[in-house]
Order: sequence, then structure tokens, then C-alpha cells
Amino acid sequence: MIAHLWHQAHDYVFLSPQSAALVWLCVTLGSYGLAVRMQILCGRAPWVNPVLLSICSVVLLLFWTGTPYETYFRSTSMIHFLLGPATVALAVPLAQSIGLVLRSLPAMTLALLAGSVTSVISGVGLVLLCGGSHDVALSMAPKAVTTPIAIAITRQIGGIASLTAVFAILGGIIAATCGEPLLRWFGVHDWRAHGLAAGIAGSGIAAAQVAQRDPVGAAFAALGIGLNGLVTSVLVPLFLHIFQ
Amino acid sequence: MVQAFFILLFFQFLGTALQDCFHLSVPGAVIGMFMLAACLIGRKQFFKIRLAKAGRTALLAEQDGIPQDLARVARSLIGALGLLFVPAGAGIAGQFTLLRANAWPVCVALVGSTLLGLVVTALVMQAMTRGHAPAENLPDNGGQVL
Repeated sequence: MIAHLWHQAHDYVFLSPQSAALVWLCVTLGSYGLAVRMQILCGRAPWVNPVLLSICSVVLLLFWTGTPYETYFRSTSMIHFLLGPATVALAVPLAQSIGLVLRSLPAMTLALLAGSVTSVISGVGLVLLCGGSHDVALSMAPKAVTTPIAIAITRQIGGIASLTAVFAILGGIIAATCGEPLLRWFGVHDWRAHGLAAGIAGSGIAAAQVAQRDPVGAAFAALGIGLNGLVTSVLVPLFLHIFQ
Repeated sequence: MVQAFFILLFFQFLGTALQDCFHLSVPGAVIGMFMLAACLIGRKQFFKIRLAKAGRTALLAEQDGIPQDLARVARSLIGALGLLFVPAGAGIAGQFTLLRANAWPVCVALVGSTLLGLVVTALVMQAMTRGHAPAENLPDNGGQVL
């Protein structure tokens, strides 16, 4: 009797169209909010990434309740839809820091092109070299770009959006944790170079790390994120066109 | 907020329409982002010229040409950017077999490619800007990117 009631309640809460949207929206917002608090408690450490934690808890809950991903995605399509306007909103910080580009145009252009090309080619190349499959390689191509743009690019070229999202976050965590010591070991001490490299190779997560250390680095990191989005979204389809 | 969302959605629509019309491979939202950035920069230049003509250069510093409403909505959207890719990222639930089969290539490529991109960008930037003074008068935004 109790088991039967529990079963019915479970089906109503997680699967019925009336309540699923509300429940999964609450779960997504709630787990993200908790994860953000957790990161603040851990002194904003880059490896306690709220997006990664939130994705993990949602995936666990999906398995535990036996909910198909399609039901979850349909329920939270409202949040997913906001990725578009949020990508357009990146224009605001880009317009605010554009003055910096004009001041050192040749240096930025060259560093940007070098960084984007290296990220895309080494990402795809290393996957294929180690015997990875074609769609994993495609999903790896835009991983250095900030996640909303990376998802849009991967959709465009036929990669798997969820893989790209997770790759972009993990790449950002790697860049945020090892970036500064590695670059100092290579003799890079200029904050402009640190910021730009973090923005181009590690997107928002690494950029946030540099931004806490230096305001010049923060401005160049923001710029790196925006410009790399444009360059990579042109480069990746172009490369595919050439190599296929 | 209404005006800001209108601007963002309108530019996303413009970008998507351009992409579909000309069969571009750049995503529509990215085209929209660059068109909006171009408009904002154009607006700023326009204000600069008008204020300079009126001889009120003191106002220039405060006026960065971005509508306050848009700046506020953009800041809150970007502040919650992480939340927005949770639904797409949770799709990883269906990819575990693919990931397990590709575990080694994925690890090598993630670490190798990220660090390589980082070092190449920083070394090129440092080599090109050596000897130039760093940019001055940067706003201190308290460790907040974007």
C-alpha cells in the first residue's frame, strides 16, 4: 500500500508534464545555488566548480529517479533558451574593453590567432592521435571557447553539445589551477599575457582566476573570451571544410 | 528590463536570420553578439563627437555609451551564465559509454591542448608587447570578469 502510494507520488512529481517542469526547474536552480555557496565556502577554489557540481547532482538524480534525459531537457528548456540572449549579452563587456584592442592591435591579433589555432588543432589532433572517435574529436574542437559559444559551434559542426559543455568546463579548471605557475615557469610575468592566455585557452573559469589577481589581467581576459569566440567560430567550420 | 530583453532577442534574431540567409557557419547568437558590440561602439563614438562639439568633455568619462538598462540585464545574465549550461551539460548522462571508450584520448587532449593553448598565447603576447608600457587607467572591477 505504502509502496504503491510512493510509486504514484514519484511518477507524479518527476514524470507528469504538469509538475515535471516545476520540479526539475527547482532542482536545477537549487543545486546550482547550493554549489555556488559551496564554492564561496571553499575560498572560491577553481576545482569546486558550481556548474560541474550542479551537473553531477542533476545526473545522479536523473539516474536515481529513472527520469529520461529528454523529460529533463524539455522541463528545463526555459533555462536553455536563455543561452542565446546571454551570448548576445557578452557584447556589453566586449564593447567596454574594446579600447584595449586598439592600443595593441598587432600583438593581440597575432596572440589571438596563434592561441585559437593551437587550441583547435591540438584538441582535435590529440583525440585522433590517441585513437578517439570522430564525434569526440569534433566535440573537443571548440572547447577553449566560453561555454555558450562552444555549444553553439559544436551544434553547427555536428559534435555532441553535452560533451563540449563538460570539456569546456574541465579545460577551464585545468587552465585555472595550472595556468599561472606554468606560465611563470616559462618566464611570462606580464599580466597582459597572463590575462589574454587565460581568456583564450581557459574561458570564463580561468579568466575569473586571473581577474582576482590583477585588474589589467581581468580586462585582457574578458577581451580574450569575446574575441576567441568570434575567431574560433570562424576557424572551426573553416578547418572542417578544408580537411573533409 | 523589457527594453534590454527586446534588444538582446532582436539581435539574436538578426544574427540567426543572417546565418540562415547566407548559410554562414558562425552561430547566429555569435553574429548577434558582434553586431550588438559594433552598435554599442558606434553609439559611444557618436556620443563622444556630440559631447566634444558641445565642449563638455568632462562628461565623456562617465558616458560609456551603453544603455543602463541593457548593462544591468547583461550583467545579471552573465553572472548566472554557469546555470544556463546545466541543462545541456546534464546530457552527459547519456554519453557515459562513449566517454568510457574514449577516456584516454579525452584526458590527453583536454590537458595537452589546454596547456599548449595557454603557453602559446602567453608567449606570443609577451614577445609582441615587450618594451611597451602596460595600459594605464584600467577600471578596477574587484576581481569580476565580464
